[in-house]
Amino acid sequence: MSTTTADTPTGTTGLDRVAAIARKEFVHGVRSRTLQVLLAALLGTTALVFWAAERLADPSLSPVGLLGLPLQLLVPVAAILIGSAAVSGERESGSLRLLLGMPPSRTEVVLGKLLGGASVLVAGLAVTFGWALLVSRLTVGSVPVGPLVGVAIATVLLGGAFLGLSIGVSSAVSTAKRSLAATFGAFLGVTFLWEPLVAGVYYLVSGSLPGAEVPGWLLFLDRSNPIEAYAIASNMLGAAGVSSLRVSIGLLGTNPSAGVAERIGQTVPVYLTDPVSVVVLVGWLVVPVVAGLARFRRADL
Amino acid sequence: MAAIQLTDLTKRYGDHLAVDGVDLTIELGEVFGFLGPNGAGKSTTINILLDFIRPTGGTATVLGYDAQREPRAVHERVGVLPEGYSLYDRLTGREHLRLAGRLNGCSVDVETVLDRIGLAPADAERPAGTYSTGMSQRLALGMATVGDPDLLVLDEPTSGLDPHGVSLLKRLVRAEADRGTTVFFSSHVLDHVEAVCDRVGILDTGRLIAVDTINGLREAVSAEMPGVEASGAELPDELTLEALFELYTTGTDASRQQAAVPGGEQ
Repeated sequence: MSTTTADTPTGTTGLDRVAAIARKEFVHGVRSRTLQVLLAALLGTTALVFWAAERLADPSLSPVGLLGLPLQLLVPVAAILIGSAAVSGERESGSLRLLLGMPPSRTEVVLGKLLGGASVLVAGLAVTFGWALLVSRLTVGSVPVGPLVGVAIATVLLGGAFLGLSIGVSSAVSTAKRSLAATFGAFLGVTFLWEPLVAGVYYLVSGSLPGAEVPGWLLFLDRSNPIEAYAIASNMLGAAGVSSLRVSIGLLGTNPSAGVAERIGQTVPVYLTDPVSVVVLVGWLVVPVVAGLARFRRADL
Repeated sequence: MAAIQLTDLTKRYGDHLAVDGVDLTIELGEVFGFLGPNGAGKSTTINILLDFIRPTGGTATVLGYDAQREPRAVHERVGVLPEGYSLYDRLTGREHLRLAGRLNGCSVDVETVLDRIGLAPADAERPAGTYSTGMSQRLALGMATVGDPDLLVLDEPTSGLDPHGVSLLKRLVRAEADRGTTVFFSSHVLDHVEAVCDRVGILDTGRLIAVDTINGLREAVSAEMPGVEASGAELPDELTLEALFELYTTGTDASRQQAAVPGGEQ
């Protein structure tokens, strides 16, 4: 029980510890060469989209709607790269033991990682959309502030969804390789396999593929896809023309381009309204983190 | 209150008993060396103290707190150099010490810590990814001492250190002990612990086979090993872990065999 004046603990709160880990995570993240390259790719793609929109000069094409497409690839990839090794990578390398040897609890470590990863993501997207404002002024001439803000909010939510998924998986498994494989697999799944899976559920329930009129729950399952929810949220928030970047081969009813009310043949229930897309994206953030944390707290490290 | 109290501590992985009913009490202010070959269960025991893993049976208390039920209270009072740790390769030495300060809720006098661990101020500005094993070990030791812990738990602190680093570590352990800190550290090299430890415990295949002072062990070796006496030396200068193992494990094996014989004949 010795005392020194220089470094006697004054005590920390849970919030202090989460903030300290988030801060560490942010500094470590922005120094990552991979993430720097990814940001350069985001900036280059943004410039390319506006340059192309100007050259095509097609009034039916919204530059912001166009920008929404590459964002649906690059932002999930960035979130996965930030999050998928966040906990499992430290568990594998052993730096997690260093962290957990100090006062933070396992829950505080995961929350700090989430907060720090989100800061990296938001900082990168802030730079990207600031750049988009500048580039749009220089190319198409006018600055679509409203649509850009709308798509920016939706993009942050999309990044958050994949960050939550990645950190949740990362907390649940013991090596970075496994969590990277699982999260990239999930990304490919929501991009390529979601529609066949939802159609498969319908087939199991009813014994046939969906016809012209489909039940509400089928559309709800389809709209629970984070990529789909992103497109819905973007359009709702003022960025018209953002379509979802996922494979769709028309398995969900014979009238896929019709409105929700027409497809289900009745007035639109609350769970099929557009604001639910925000709930869906937040759900993709929260649910995997809670589930991953439950497993992480019980694990032998 | 004991610094560390293990009661019938057991950790089972499938059929393998990594820690097998260990009872051990370490008093406050003691420097205790936890000895044993690799795979003896030293790290498993330490990881239970730190709540990195959960025991199958028995209890562990650290500074009076249950290691599994009150891990925060433990971690607020203990400085740790864990087994198989690594640093953040993109953070500098200084940033590591600052992080330790923030997490322990204390301001860190970085220069004093650097001086204590023998890390040059210029090196503290470089990312830890560029550090040698010895430098990493020193920085991790520095982080462990941030917040003036009541107990230092060091898992194989001498591994990867050159002789200079080992002597620096011994000095650091002595200095901490003089300040009243209890030190519990593991090693598979007896030479590294004998100069600094008040007592040592020897772990073999999960079982604690001996707990004694270094002198006590030395006397046991010289009394039990005729080869040592025949050489004319009163006490062996070179007390090796191998000699200790030979002594204690052959002893227990022999008694086990004797106990097994009557049953086997029936």
